[in-house]
Amino acid sequence: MTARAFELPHCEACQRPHWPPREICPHCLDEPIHWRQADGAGQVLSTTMVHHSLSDELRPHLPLHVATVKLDCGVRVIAYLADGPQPSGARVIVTAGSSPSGQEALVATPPAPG
Amino acid sequence: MTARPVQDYAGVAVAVPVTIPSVRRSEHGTPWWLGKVLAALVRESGIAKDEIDGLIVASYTLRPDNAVSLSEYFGLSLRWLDDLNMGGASGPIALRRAARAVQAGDAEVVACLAADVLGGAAFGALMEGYSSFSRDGVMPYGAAGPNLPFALITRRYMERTGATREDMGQICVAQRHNGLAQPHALFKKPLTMDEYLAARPVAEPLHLYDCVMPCSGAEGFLVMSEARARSGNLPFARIKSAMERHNTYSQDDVQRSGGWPLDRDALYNAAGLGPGDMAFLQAYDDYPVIVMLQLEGLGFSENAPAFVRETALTADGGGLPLNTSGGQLSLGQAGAAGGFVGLTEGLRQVTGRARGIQVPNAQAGLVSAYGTVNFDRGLCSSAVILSKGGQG
Repeated sequence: MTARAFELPHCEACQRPHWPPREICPHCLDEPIHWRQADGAGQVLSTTMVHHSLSDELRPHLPLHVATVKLDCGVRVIAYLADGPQPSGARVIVTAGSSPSGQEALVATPPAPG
Repeated sequence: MTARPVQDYAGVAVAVPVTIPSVRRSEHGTPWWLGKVLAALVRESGIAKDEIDGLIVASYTLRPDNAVSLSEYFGLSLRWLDDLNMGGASGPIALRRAARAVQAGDAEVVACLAADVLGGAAFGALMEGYSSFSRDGVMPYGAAGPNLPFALITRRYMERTGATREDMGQICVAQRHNGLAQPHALFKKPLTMDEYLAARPVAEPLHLYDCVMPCSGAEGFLVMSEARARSGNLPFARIKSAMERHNTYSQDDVQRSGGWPLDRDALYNAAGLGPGDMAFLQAYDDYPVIVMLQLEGLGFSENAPAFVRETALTADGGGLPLNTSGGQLSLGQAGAAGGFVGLTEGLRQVTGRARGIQVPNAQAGLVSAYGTVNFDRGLCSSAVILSKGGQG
């Protein structure tokens, strides 16, 4: 999985990010919304190990580890856990990466040690 | 500012619960299923098709048709028509809207219908096109459909409350007992706790028997005035109170409640009843954790895992009869028709006409519903307290 710069939809009127993407800001109902670089640091809220998939592309890669992550900027995302299971409460860094089948996806990894 | 009092539902009758038994694979389209319900409503009520002047329809798989299309499809001439896209929460919400239309005189007889054709590839297709947030924020992560958000909700609930898989299993095992008495249940074998615990994982902590089976099926009922029901000698239920809420507690990091706590006191106060007066709870059961949330949110217990350990949940166990038809965990989930399953069963119970186990002295009971996982949680919650009306 390759990491790229992490971006979130960001409201130019109230300067707040949100997720999933919208064309109108859910906080102030204004626009425009632009993708801007964001801090991917956050905390694992809940996790699951997926054993059953509707996708032919993902099925060979089962089981898959997926988490809900609360980013420090307040935004909640669902992301792959790239390095396997993490306990609830674990600190992670979310980046723009790819799913095991190569599709664009958010990926959470433990912070670099030190 | 004091809120205006909510008008009651006096004078409204809910009658003729209809269930078209579900199948795993259907060779028919969604209008066929809806038409079978409509025909049964006409046949069982003795009310002619031309006397039905209101229609509300809940379905995911009706597209490219819609509720308007159905008026022509079925040859109905209507003066009140509603297209309800609220999935699992649709039963009590359809009932509320139809009841207000009847009270206001906008319609005399409203047919409330729900049906979906889901099974095999149709379920995957529905999930792919479910919502933009699901497409962008959920399906790329395993393509697990609703199992993914509910696995995340369940894990958090278990960690927060200490609930175990056995606690979740109490709900599934008791409901299967209830479902075995239903002639049309999709699952026809008993479920033991050992079998529940030994099932294969689907999206941990969810295992096979935590998940409803997508299928095809249809449900419906009629809403009219009490006078109309009496003139036709129809058994009917009354609406003591009802609520709906959408996108509540959105600041909770992981969903820990539907909207029920916001209206719980008003719901019971309007009915002049409390949780202890409910002869049954028909709770939305797409996954057992959501039943836990309803037990807590609707005032049955502040600690649902302890409650299910200590309380018989079977329809004939003397505790709290839960999903007396077996619920979707036994009958299967036919999309939006799953949002009607609790309501049709509640109507049968309070009119003393259960197809399976009849709860004795069912004077009043609670039907609650939930649905529409747009991103990481169900957005719609609803509930209705039904009471025994006329006996036809």
